[in-house]
Amino acid sequence: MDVHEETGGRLRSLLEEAGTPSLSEGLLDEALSRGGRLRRRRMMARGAAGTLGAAALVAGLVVTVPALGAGADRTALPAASSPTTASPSAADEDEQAAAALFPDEDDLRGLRYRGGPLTGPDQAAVLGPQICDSTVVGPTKGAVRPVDVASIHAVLPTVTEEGVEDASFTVAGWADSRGWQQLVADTGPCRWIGVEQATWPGGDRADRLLLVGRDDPRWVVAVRRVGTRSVAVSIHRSGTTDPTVEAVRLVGLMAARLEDSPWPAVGP
Amino acid sequence: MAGGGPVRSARPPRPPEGVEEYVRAAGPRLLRFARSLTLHDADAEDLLQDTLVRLVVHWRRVERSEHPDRYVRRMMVNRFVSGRRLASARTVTSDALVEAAAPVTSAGDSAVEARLLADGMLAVLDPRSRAVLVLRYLEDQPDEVVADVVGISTGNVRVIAHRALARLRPLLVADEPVG
Repeated sequence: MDVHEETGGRLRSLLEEAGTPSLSEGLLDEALSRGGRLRRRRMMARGAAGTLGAAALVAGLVVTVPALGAGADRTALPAASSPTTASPSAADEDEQAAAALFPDEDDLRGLRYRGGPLTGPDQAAVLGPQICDSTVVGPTKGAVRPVDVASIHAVLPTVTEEGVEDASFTVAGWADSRGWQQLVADTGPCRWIGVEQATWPGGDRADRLLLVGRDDPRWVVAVRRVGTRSVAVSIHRSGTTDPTVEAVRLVGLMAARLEDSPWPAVGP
Repeated sequence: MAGGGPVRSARPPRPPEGVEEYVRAAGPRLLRFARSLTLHDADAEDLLQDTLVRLVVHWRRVERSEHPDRYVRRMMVNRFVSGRRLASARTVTSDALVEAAAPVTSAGDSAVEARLLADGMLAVLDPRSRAVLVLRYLEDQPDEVVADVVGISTGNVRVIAHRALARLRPLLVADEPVG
Protein backbone atom coordinates (compact mmCIF):
# COMPACT_ATOMS: atom_id res chain seq x y z
CA MET A 1 0.00 0.00 0.00
CA ASP A 2 1.22 3.51 -0.81
CA VAL A 3 2.56 5.22 2.33
CA HIS A 4 0.19 8.14 1.86
CA GLU A 5 -2.78 5.83 1.51
CA GLU A 6 -1.61 4.09 4.64
CA THR A 7 -1.49 7.43 6.48
CA GLY A 8 -4.92 8.29 5.20
CA GLY A 9 -6.21 4.91 6.29
CA ARG A 10 -4.79 5.42 9.75
CA LEU A 11 -6.41 8.84 9.98
CA ARG A 12 -9.70 7.32 8.87
CA SER A 13 -9.48 4.68 11.61
CA LEU A 14 -8.69 7.26 14.27
CA LEU A 15 -11.57 9.50 13.22
CA GLU A 16 -13.94 6.54 13.28
CA GLU A 17 -12.70 5.37 16.66
CA ALA A 18 -13.04 8.87 18.06
CA GLY A 19 -16.79 8.56 17.65
CA THR A 20 -19.38 11.29 17.57
CA PRO A 21 -19.27 14.08 20.16
CA SER A 22 -22.46 14.61 22.10
CA LEU A 23 -24.60 17.59 21.25
CA SER A 24 -25.21 20.14 23.98
CA GLU A 25 -28.79 20.14 25.05
CA GLY A 26 -30.80 22.79 23.30
CA LEU A 27 -28.18 23.58 20.64
CA LEU A 28 -30.37 22.51 17.75
CA ASP A 29 -33.45 24.21 19.21
CA GLU A 30 -31.51 27.41 19.69
CA ALA A 31 -30.17 27.30 16.12
CA LEU A 32 -33.65 26.71 14.72
CA SER A 33 -35.07 29.52 16.79
CA ARG A 34 -32.33 32.02 15.96
CA GLY A 35 -32.43 31.07 12.29
CA GLY A 36 -36.21 31.42 12.25
CA ARG A 37 -36.04 34.90 13.79
CA LEU A 38 -33.35 36.04 11.39
CA ARG A 39 -35.18 34.58 8.42
CA ARG A 40 -38.41 36.32 9.37
CA ARG A 41 -36.59 39.63 9.78
CA ARG A 42 -34.93 39.22 6.39
CA MET A 43 -38.20 38.32 4.70
CA MET A 44 -39.90 41.36 6.12
CA ALA A 45 -37.06 43.65 5.12
CA ARG A 46 -36.88 42.00 1.72
CA GLY A 47 -40.58 42.40 1.21
CA ALA A 48 -40.27 46.07 2.01
CA ALA A 49 -37.36 46.45 -0.37
CA GLY A 50 -39.08 44.55 -3.17
CA THR A 51 -42.25 46.58 -2.90
CA LEU A 52 -40.36 49.83 -2.71
CA GLY A 53 -38.05 48.70 -5.49
CA ALA A 54 -40.74 48.31 -8.08
CA ALA A 55 -42.29 51.62 -7.10
CA ALA A 56 -38.97 53.39 -7.06
CA LEU A 57 -38.01 52.14 -10.47
CA VAL A 58 -41.16 53.67 -11.86
CA ALA A 59 -40.59 56.85 -9.90
CA GLY A 60 -36.89 56.99 -10.68
CA LEU A 61 -35.66 56.71 -7.11
CA VAL A 62 -32.79 54.86 -5.55
CA VAL A 63 -33.75 51.68 -3.76
CA THR A 64 -32.82 50.61 -0.26
CA VAL A 65 -32.25 46.96 0.50
CA PRO A 66 -31.11 45.17 3.62
CA ALA A 67 -27.53 44.10 4.07
CA LEU A 68 -26.88 40.41 3.93
CA GLY A 69 -25.22 38.17 6.47
CA ALA A 70 -24.46 39.61 9.86
CA GLY A 71 -25.56 43.01 8.69
CA ALA A 72 -29.09 41.83 8.15
CA ASP A 73 -29.52 41.39 11.86
CA ARG A 74 -28.83 45.06 12.43
CA THR A 75 -30.37 46.56 9.36
CA ALA A 76 -33.36 48.77 9.72
CA LEU A 77 -34.92 50.42 6.78
CA PRO A 78 -34.90 54.18 6.99
CA ALA A 79 -38.04 55.80 8.26
CA ALA A 80 -38.99 57.03 4.83
CA SER A 81 -38.84 53.48 3.52
CA SER A 82 -40.53 51.70 6.36
CA PRO A 83 -44.17 51.71 5.33
CA THR A 84 -44.88 48.64 3.30
CA THR A 85 -47.88 46.67 2.28
CA ALA A 86 -45.89 43.48 1.72
CA SER A 87 -46.75 40.71 4.14
CA PRO A 88 -44.10 38.21 5.18
CA SER A 89 -45.87 35.51 3.22
CA ALA A 90 -45.81 37.60 0.06
CA ALA A 91 -42.17 38.32 0.66
CA ASP A 92 -41.51 34.66 1.24
CA GLU A 93 -42.77 33.89 -2.24
CA ASP A 94 -40.66 36.67 -3.64
CA GLU A 95 -37.39 34.80 -3.47
CA GLN A 96 -35.91 36.88 -6.23
CA ALA A 97 -36.44 40.19 -4.55
CA ALA A 98 -33.75 42.79 -4.86
CA ALA A 99 -31.70 41.76 -1.87
CA ALA A 100 -31.45 38.22 -3.17
CA LEU A 101 -29.42 39.46 -6.12
CA PHE A 102 -26.36 39.87 -3.91
CA PRO A 103 -23.99 36.95 -3.49
CA ASP A 104 -24.47 34.93 -0.34
CA GLU A 105 -21.57 34.92 2.07
CA ASP A 106 -20.93 31.36 1.03
CA ASP A 107 -20.25 32.65 -2.46
CA LEU A 108 -17.70 35.15 -1.23
CA ARG A 109 -14.95 32.70 -0.33
CA GLY A 110 -13.61 34.28 2.79
CA LEU A 111 -15.05 37.78 2.53
CA ARG A 112 -17.88 38.69 4.83
CA TYR A 113 -20.45 41.43 4.80
CA ARG A 114 -19.55 43.95 7.44
CA GLY A 115 -21.97 46.77 6.98
CA GLY A 116 -25.21 47.87 5.52
CA PRO A 117 -25.85 49.05 2.00
CA LEU A 118 -25.03 52.50 0.74
CA THR A 119 -28.16 54.17 -0.51
CA GLY A 120 -29.35 57.57 -1.55
CA PRO A 121 -29.90 59.66 -4.60
CA ASP A 122 -27.47 60.00 -7.46
CA GLN A 123 -25.65 56.76 -6.84
CA ALA A 124 -23.08 55.55 -9.30
CA ALA A 125 -24.00 52.64 -11.52
CA VAL A 126 -20.81 50.95 -10.32
CA LEU A 127 -19.92 51.57 -6.71
CA GLY A 128 -16.23 52.01 -6.00
CA PRO A 129 -14.50 53.05 -9.21
CA GLN A 130 -16.87 55.84 -10.25
CA ILE A 131 -17.18 59.45 -9.23
CA CYS A 132 -20.33 61.46 -9.82
CA ASP A 133 -19.24 64.84 -8.49
CA SER A 134 -20.13 67.40 -11.17
CA THR A 135 -17.22 69.61 -10.16
CA VAL A 136 -14.90 66.78 -11.11
CA VAL A 137 -16.84 65.23 -13.95
CA GLY A 138 -17.75 68.51 -15.58
CA PRO A 139 -20.69 69.08 -17.91
CA THR A 140 -22.72 65.97 -18.57
CA LYS A 141 -25.14 67.18 -21.19
CA GLY A 142 -26.80 64.24 -22.87
CA ALA A 143 -25.85 61.83 -20.11
CA VAL A 144 -28.47 59.52 -18.68
CA ARG A 145 -28.88 60.91 -15.20
CA PRO A 146 -28.49 58.74 -12.10
CA VAL A 147 -31.97 59.77 -11.10
CA ASP A 148 -33.08 57.19 -13.61
CA VAL A 149 -30.88 54.58 -12.00
CA ALA A 150 -32.08 52.15 -9.40
CA SER A 151 -28.98 51.13 -7.55
CA ILE A 152 -28.31 48.68 -4.79
CA HIS A 153 -25.04 48.70 -2.98
CA ALA A 154 -23.41 46.50 -0.41
CA VAL A 155 -20.00 47.11 1.00
CA LEU A 156 -17.78 44.74 2.87
CA PRO A 157 -14.36 45.94 3.91
CA THR A 158 -12.71 42.93 5.47
CA VAL A 159 -9.36 42.67 7.16
CA THR A 160 -7.71 39.30 6.75
CA GLU A 161 -4.25 37.99 7.49
CA GLU A 162 -3.45 38.70 3.88
CA GLY A 163 -4.33 42.38 4.10
CA VAL A 164 -7.39 44.49 3.61
CA GLU A 165 -9.83 42.96 1.20
CA ASP A 166 -13.14 44.36 0.09
CA ALA A 167 -15.86 44.14 -2.47
CA SER A 168 -18.85 46.19 -3.56
CA PHE A 169 -21.85 45.08 -5.54
CA THR A 170 -24.19 47.25 -7.56
CA VAL A 171 -27.36 46.62 -9.51
CA ALA A 172 -28.44 49.47 -11.76
CA GLY A 173 -30.99 50.17 -14.42
CA TRP A 174 -31.46 52.86 -17.01
CA ALA A 175 -34.38 54.32 -18.88
CA ASP A 176 -32.85 53.09 -22.11
CA SER A 177 -29.76 51.40 -23.49
CA ARG A 178 -27.80 54.66 -23.64
CA GLY A 179 -27.01 54.13 -19.97
CA TRP A 180 -24.89 51.09 -20.76
CA GLN A 181 -23.30 52.74 -23.78
CA GLN A 182 -22.32 55.74 -21.69
CA LEU A 183 -20.94 53.48 -19.00
CA VAL A 184 -18.66 51.78 -21.51
CA ALA A 185 -17.66 55.01 -23.24
CA ASP A 186 -17.21 56.78 -19.91
CA THR A 187 -19.49 59.62 -20.96
CA GLY A 188 -22.22 59.18 -18.36
CA PRO A 189 -22.90 61.33 -15.35
CA CYS A 190 -20.46 59.23 -13.30
CA ARG A 191 -16.95 58.62 -14.57
CA TRP A 192 -14.32 55.96 -13.98
CA ILE A 193 -11.60 56.89 -11.57
CA GLY A 194 -8.46 54.92 -10.73
CA VAL A 195 -9.24 52.10 -13.15
CA GLU A 196 -8.66 51.39 -16.81
CA GLN A 197 -10.42 49.06 -19.18
CA ALA A 198 -8.95 45.62 -19.65
CA THR A 199 -9.76 42.58 -21.75
CA TRP A 200 -12.48 40.30 -20.48
CA PRO A 201 -11.14 36.77 -19.89
CA GLY A 202 -11.77 34.80 -23.06
CA GLY A 203 -12.28 37.92 -25.16
CA ASP A 204 -14.29 41.12 -25.03
CA ARG A 205 -18.05 41.09 -25.52
CA ALA A 206 -20.48 43.94 -25.98
CA ASP A 207 -22.34 43.10 -22.80
CA ARG A 208 -19.31 42.81 -20.53
CA LEU A 209 -16.81 45.25 -19.17
CA LEU A 210 -13.65 44.62 -17.19
CA LEU A 211 -11.54 47.28 -15.52
CA VAL A 212 -8.37 46.97 -13.48
CA GLY A 213 -6.88 49.37 -10.93
CA ARG A 214 -4.46 51.74 -12.63
CA ASP A 215 -1.96 51.46 -9.79
CA ASP A 216 -3.20 48.28 -8.22
CA PRO A 217 -3.74 45.15 -10.32
CA ARG A 218 -5.39 43.43 -7.33
CA TRP A 219 -8.38 45.74 -7.78
CA VAL A 220 -10.71 44.46 -10.48
CA VAL A 221 -14.12 45.64 -11.60
CA ALA A 222 -16.43 43.42 -13.65
CA VAL A 223 -19.71 44.68 -15.09
CA ARG A 224 -22.33 42.82 -17.09
CA ARG A 225 -25.30 44.14 -18.95
CA VAL A 226 -28.66 42.43 -18.52
CA GLY A 227 -31.08 44.21 -20.84
CA THR A 228 -31.34 47.80 -19.65
CA ARG A 229 -29.92 46.79 -16.31
CA SER A 230 -26.42 46.01 -15.14
CA VAL A 231 -24.69 44.22 -12.33
CA ALA A 232 -21.24 45.15 -11.15
CA VAL A 233 -18.64 43.79 -8.79
CA SER A 234 -15.68 45.84 -7.63
CA ILE A 235 -13.30 43.63 -5.70
CA HIS A 236 -9.88 43.86 -4.12
CA ARG A 237 -8.28 40.61 -3.07
CA SER A 238 -4.89 39.85 -1.67
CA GLY A 239 -2.84 36.69 -1.39
CA THR A 240 -3.34 33.90 -3.84
CA THR A 241 -6.94 34.68 -4.73
CA ASP A 242 -7.14 35.93 -8.29
CA PRO A 243 -9.33 39.06 -8.19
CA THR A 244 -10.21 38.80 -11.89
CA VAL A 245 -11.47 35.25 -11.49
CA GLU A 246 -13.44 36.26 -8.42
CA ALA A 247 -14.94 39.38 -10.01
CA VAL A 248 -15.98 37.50 -13.14
CA ARG A 249 -17.45 34.64 -11.10
CA LEU A 250 -19.42 36.89 -8.78
CA VAL A 251 -20.73 39.18 -11.49
CA GLY A 252 -21.81 36.08 -13.44
CA LEU A 253 -23.68 34.87 -10.41
CA MET A 254 -25.45 38.21 -10.01
CA ALA A 255 -26.24 38.43 -13.72
CA ALA A 256 -27.83 34.98 -13.65
CA ARG A 257 -29.91 35.95 -10.64
CA LEU A 258 -30.97 39.20 -12.24
CA GLU A 259 -32.01 37.41 -15.43
CA ASP A 260 -34.17 35.06 -13.39
CA SER A 261 -35.62 37.74 -11.17
CA PRO A 262 -38.88 39.59 -11.52
CA TRP A 263 -36.97 42.79 -10.83
CA PRO A 264 -38.59 44.95 -13.42
CA ALA A 265 -36.73 46.03 -16.50
CA VAL A 266 -36.34 49.77 -16.81
CA GLY A 267 -37.55 51.54 -19.89
CA PRO A 268 -38.33 49.94 -23.23
CA MET B 1 -55.15 29.85 42.61
CA ALA B 2 -54.24 27.80 39.65
CA GLY B 3 -50.53 27.40 39.11
CA GLY B 4 -48.70 27.83 35.86
CA GLY B 5 -45.34 28.37 34.31
CA PRO B 6 -43.96 31.65 33.16
CA VAL B 7 -45.92 33.29 30.40
CA ARG B 8 -44.00 33.62 27.19
CA SER B 9 -44.11 37.06 25.72
CA ALA B 10 -43.82 35.89 22.14
CA ARG B 11 -44.15 32.64 20.28
CA PRO B 12 -40.85 31.60 18.70
CA PRO B 13 -40.88 31.91 14.92
CA ARG B 14 -41.66 28.69 13.13
CA PRO B 15 -38.82 27.47 10.89
CA PRO B 16 -39.67 26.69 7.27
CA GLU B 17 -41.10 23.29 6.52
CA GLY B 18 -38.58 20.48 6.37
CA VAL B 19 -35.69 22.30 7.94
CA GLU B 20 -36.31 21.06 11.46
CA GLU B 21 -36.33 17.43 10.36
CA TYR B 22 -33.15 17.97 8.42
CA VAL B 23 -31.40 19.73 11.31
CA ARG B 24 -32.36 17.08 13.84
CA ALA B 25 -31.30 14.25 11.55
CA ALA B 26 -28.07 15.82 10.35
CA GLY B 27 -27.06 17.62 13.58
CA PRO B 28 -24.90 14.88 15.14
CA ARG B 29 -23.11 14.13 11.87
CA LEU B 30 -22.50 17.81 11.28
CA LEU B 31 -21.18 18.23 14.82
CA ARG B 32 -18.70 15.42 14.23
CA PHE B 33 -17.61 17.14 11.02
CA ALA B 34 -17.31 20.50 12.79
CA ARG B 35 -15.35 18.92 15.66
CA SER B 36 -12.85 17.44 13.23
CA LEU B 37 -12.39 20.81 11.57
CA THR B 38 -12.04 22.92 14.69
CA LEU B 39 -10.44 20.34 17.03
CA HIS B 40 -12.24 22.03 19.85
CA ASP B 41 -15.59 21.13 21.40
CA ALA B 42 -16.88 24.64 22.02
CA ASP B 43 -15.64 25.93 18.66
CA ALA B 44 -17.33 22.99 16.96
CA GLU B 45 -20.65 23.82 18.58
CA ASP B 46 -20.24 27.47 17.62
CA LEU B 47 -19.47 26.52 14.04
CA LEU B 48 -22.39 24.11 13.94
CA GLN B 49 -24.84 26.59 15.39
CA ASP B 50 -23.66 29.36 13.10
CA THR B 51 -24.05 27.06 10.10
CA LEU B 52 -27.47 25.87 11.17
CA VAL B 53 -28.74 29.40 11.70
CA ARG B 54 -27.73 30.27 8.16
CA LEU B 55 -29.13 26.97 6.96
CA VAL B 56 -32.55 27.98 8.29
CA VAL B 57 -32.27 31.40 6.66
CA HIS B 58 -31.27 29.94 3.30
CA TRP B 59 -33.31 26.76 3.59
CA ARG B 60 -35.12 27.18 0.28
CA ARG B 61 -31.88 27.46 -1.59
CA VAL B 62 -30.41 24.49 0.28
CA GLU B 63 -33.50 22.42 -0.29
CA ARG B 64 -33.51 23.20 -3.99
CA SER B 65 -29.86 22.40 -4.44
CA GLU B 66 -28.99 19.09 -6.02
CA HIS B 67 -26.96 18.00 -2.99
CA PRO B 68 -28.21 19.60 0.24
CA ASP B 69 -25.65 17.78 2.42
CA ARG B 70 -22.88 19.05 0.22
CA TYR B 71 -24.29 22.56 0.30
CA VAL B 72 -24.37 22.56 4.10
CA ARG B 73 -20.83 21.27 4.38
CA ARG B 74 -19.72 23.96 1.96
CA MET B 75 -21.30 26.56 4.24
CA MET B 76 -19.48 25.08 7.18
CA VAL B 77 -16.09 24.83 5.48
CA ASN B 78 -16.33 28.39 4.17
CA ARG B 79 -17.19 29.63 7.61
CA PHE B 80 -14.42 27.62 9.18
CA VAL B 81 -11.77 28.78 6.72
CA SER B 82 -12.83 32.44 6.85
CA GLY B 83 -13.23 32.30 10.63
CA ARG B 84 -9.73 30.97 10.99
CA ARG B 85 -8.49 33.76 8.83
CA LEU B 86 -10.18 36.41 10.89
CA ALA B 87 -9.42 35.00 14.32
CA SER B 88 -6.35 32.86 14.15
CA ALA B 89 -5.64 32.89 17.88
CA ARG B 90 -6.79 29.31 18.15
CA THR B 91 -3.82 28.11 16.10
CA VAL B 92 -1.54 28.52 19.12
CA THR B 93 -3.07 25.35 20.48
CA SER B 94 -1.60 23.27 17.66
CA ASP B 95 1.68 22.54 19.39
CA ALA B 96 -0.06 21.73 22.61
CA LEU B 97 -2.29 19.28 20.81
CA VAL B 98 0.66 17.59 19.16
CA GLU B 99 2.45 17.34 22.49
CA ALA B 100 -0.64 15.96 24.12
CA ALA B 101 -1.06 13.40 21.38
CA ALA B 102 2.56 12.31 21.17
CA PRO B 103 2.84 10.28 24.37
CA VAL B 104 -0.37 8.41 23.71
CA THR B 105 0.27 4.96 22.39
CA SER B 106 -1.66 3.94 19.31
CA ALA B 107 -2.21 0.52 20.85
CA GLY B 108 -4.99 2.05 22.96
CA ASP B 109 -8.45 1.72 21.48
CA SER B 110 -10.45 4.19 23.51
CA ALA B 111 -12.30 6.97 21.81
CA VAL B 112 -10.41 9.52 23.86
CA GLU B 113 -7.04 8.24 22.72
CA ALA B 114 -8.17 8.10 19.12
CA ARG B 115 -9.50 11.62 19.40
CA LEU B 116 -6.22 12.89 20.82
CA LEU B 117 -4.21 11.22 18.09
CA ALA B 118 -6.50 12.45 15.33
CA ASP B 119 -6.44 15.97 16.78
CA GLY B 120 -2.67 15.87 17.00
CA MET B 121 -2.42 14.96 13.34
CA LEU B 122 -4.99 17.42 12.06
CA ALA B 123 -3.65 20.27 14.19
CA VAL B 124 -0.50 20.58 12.12
CA LEU B 125 -2.49 21.27 8.96
CA ASP B 126 -3.76 24.58 7.66
CA PRO B 127 -7.57 24.92 7.64
CA ARG B 128 -8.05 24.11 3.97
CA SER B 129 -5.83 21.02 4.06
CA ARG B 130 -7.62 19.88 7.19
CA ALA B 131 -10.98 20.31 5.49
CA VAL B 132 -9.78 18.25 2.53
CA LEU B 133 -8.60 15.36 4.70
CA VAL B 134 -11.65 15.42 6.94
CA LEU B 135 -13.95 15.29 3.93
CA ARG B 136 -11.91 12.50 2.43
CA TYR B 137 -11.31 10.32 5.47
CA LEU B 138 -14.10 11.14 7.91
CA GLU B 139 -16.86 11.77 5.42
CA ASP B 140 -15.51 9.34 2.81
CA GLN B 141 -16.24 11.73 0.00
CA PRO B 142 -14.68 11.29 -3.43
CA ASP B 143 -12.26 13.98 -4.58
CA GLU B 144 -14.85 15.51 -6.92
CA VAL B 145 -17.16 16.17 -4.00
CA VAL B 146 -14.31 17.41 -1.80
CA ALA B 147 -13.39 19.84 -4.57
CA ASP B 148 -16.94 21.09 -4.81
CA VAL B 149 -17.27 21.57 -1.06
CA VAL B 150 -13.93 23.30 -0.57
CA GLY B 151 -14.25 25.35 -3.74
CA ILE B 152 -11.10 24.17 -5.49
CA SER B 153 -10.33 21.93 -8.45
CA THR B 154 -10.13 18.16 -8.19
CA GLY B 155 -6.45 18.36 -9.10
CA ASN B 156 -5.90 20.77 -6.27
CA VAL B 157 -7.61 18.39 -3.87
CA ARG B 158 -5.16 15.66 -4.82
CA VAL B 159 -2.17 17.94 -4.46
CA ILE B 160 -3.34 19.28 -1.09
CA ALA B 161 -4.17 15.80 0.18
CA HIS B 162 -0.81 14.43 -0.96
CA ARG B 163 1.11 17.19 0.79
CA ALA B 164 -1.00 16.97 3.91
CA LEU B 165 -0.56 13.21 4.20
CA ALA B 166 3.17 13.61 3.65
CA ARG B 167 3.18 16.04 6.54
CA LEU B 168 1.28 13.65 8.76
CA ARG B 169 3.36 10.62 7.94
CA PRO B 170 6.27 11.41 10.33
CA LEU B 171 3.80 11.95 13.17
CA LEU B 172 2.32 8.56 12.57
CA VAL B 173 5.71 6.84 12.34
CA ALA B 174 6.87 8.51 15.56
CA ASP B 175 3.72 7.32 17.24
CA GLU B 176 4.00 3.68 16.25
CA PRO B 177 4.66 1.35 19.20
CA VAL B 178 8.24 0.16 19.54
CA GLY B 179 8.98 -3.55 19.26
